Amino acid sequence: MHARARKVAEIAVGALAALALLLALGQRAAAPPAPMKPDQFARLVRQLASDAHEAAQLSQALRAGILTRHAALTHHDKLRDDVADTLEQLDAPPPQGAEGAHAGVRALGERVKAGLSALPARMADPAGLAKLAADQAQAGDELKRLAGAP
Amino acid sequence: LNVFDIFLGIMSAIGGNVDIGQLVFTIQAGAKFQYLLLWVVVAGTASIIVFAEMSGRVAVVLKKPAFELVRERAGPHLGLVVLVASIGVKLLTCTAQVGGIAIILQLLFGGEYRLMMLAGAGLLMAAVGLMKFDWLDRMFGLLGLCLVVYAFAAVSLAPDWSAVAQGFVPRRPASGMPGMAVYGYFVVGLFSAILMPYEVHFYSSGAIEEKWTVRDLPSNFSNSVMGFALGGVLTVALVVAGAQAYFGKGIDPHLVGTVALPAALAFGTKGLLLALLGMLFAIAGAAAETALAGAYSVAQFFGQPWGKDRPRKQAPVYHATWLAILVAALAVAQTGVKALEVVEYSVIFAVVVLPFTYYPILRVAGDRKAMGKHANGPFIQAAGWLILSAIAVAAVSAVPLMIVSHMGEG
Repeated sequence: MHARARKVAEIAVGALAALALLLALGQRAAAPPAPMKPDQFARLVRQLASDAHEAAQLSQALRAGILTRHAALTHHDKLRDDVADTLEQLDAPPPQGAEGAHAGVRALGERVKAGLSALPARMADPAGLAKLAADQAQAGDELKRLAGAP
Repeated sequence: LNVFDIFLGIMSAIGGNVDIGQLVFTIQAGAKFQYLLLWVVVAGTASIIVFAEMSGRVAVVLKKPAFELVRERAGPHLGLVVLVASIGVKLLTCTAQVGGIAIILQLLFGGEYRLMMLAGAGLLMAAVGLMKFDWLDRMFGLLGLCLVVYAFAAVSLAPDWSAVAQGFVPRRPASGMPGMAVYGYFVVGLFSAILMPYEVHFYSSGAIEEKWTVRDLPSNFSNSVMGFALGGVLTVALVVAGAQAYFGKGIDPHLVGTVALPAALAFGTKGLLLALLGMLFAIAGAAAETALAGAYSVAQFFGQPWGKDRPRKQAPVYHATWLAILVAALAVAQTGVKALEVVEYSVIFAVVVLPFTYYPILRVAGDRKAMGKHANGPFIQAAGWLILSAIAVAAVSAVPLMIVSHMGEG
């Protein structure tokens, strides 16, 4: 009897778990387009600001001659992929009331991306690297201000 | 004490303290909280020294490595759950290391990511398959020591030493730093990464592989103290270097290339190359360590013969398991998953398995009937319980902190 009761309990728990899973999946499948949550938006902006500052640092390091060719190119590629990933996530509808900031962030993100695309051709051009570094740092500062957090 | 005798401890420690995830996580800790998390490194290092020494002592005295104790104390059912969970964590960790090896090879030699992954994993499999156990730990331990460049970089980047010293005392994050949820996430992440369970699985099995007897107990003590203390020093150096290079500069380092930059800032291309070489061997050592630790766990749990230096025919399950873990890790990494995201999950989920690894070690090491005069003294036993309590708190809070802090991103 004890074993039978245990089996019934196990089946009941299994059925409830399956039902809960189905309900959760149904809810997810039927979800309408929703705006990004403000904290998610802020995280993406902080990420982009960090990438911009990192791009500036990469340009400065190249200018100082402290990087090897492969290290610089590989790091540059990973950074560019990261910026592209973040921009893709920013394709989602912005939080309500943050449409203006969203447009500004996207524009700055595109500026960071363009700067990174221009980097390989300027790797041996100190003046060009200095200009790139200044531009990326400025974009990073503006993004940080838009994120409004440390 | 022969100088070569301490490489088991060094490889175990480097594999745990400075694997791919820990390298990035530690630099991030410095970038976000400056020196504020140094006390966690000290606490974690002291804890792993205590438990590694205990696991080595039990292995030497009873000829029972860590996972055999887990099976004995937890029983076959709970033991199997721990085995599956721990193999899952090892596979995740190994996947991240294989991806990390590919990125380091790219940073050194260029080339395509997936191709470099194949080359790196192929070389790693050849090294693990062909080299004797003691030469494996010597090679990865010795070449991983190139990471000492971070200790010199930390000094060369001229930190404020009084602020560094204050980091060894726990304090709340200052204004301008991320909040308590992120702080808690980094405390738990750093602490558990230093105590990753595969370190003691590998270390205790390694003690038996090295054929230590009770006469080698001083060697066990020096291995655990010197090896893991060196890992702790490297971790402190990474936190300080990360703080000097990135704190307050708006950079949240999350790429492998960013980790190498502080060495370049301090010593130019020579520093960069040395850092990359050290990272390559530390990460490859961690990959070998996780794959072998997985093989030890499976073979020991099912009572199968095991041993790196045993011929394949004598220990087929053991040899097939480490190879399967490396091949599976390579296959998962080839799908293009991000190495660093994988490893963050592995560190946090490993915390949940931690108590099941360390509890049996503490119980057996403190058992006078089993261990005789080699059982824990009252001070070590008390320290063990204190550490185990901290591990239990970390295990309970790991997943909620991961959710609340959005994996440390705030």
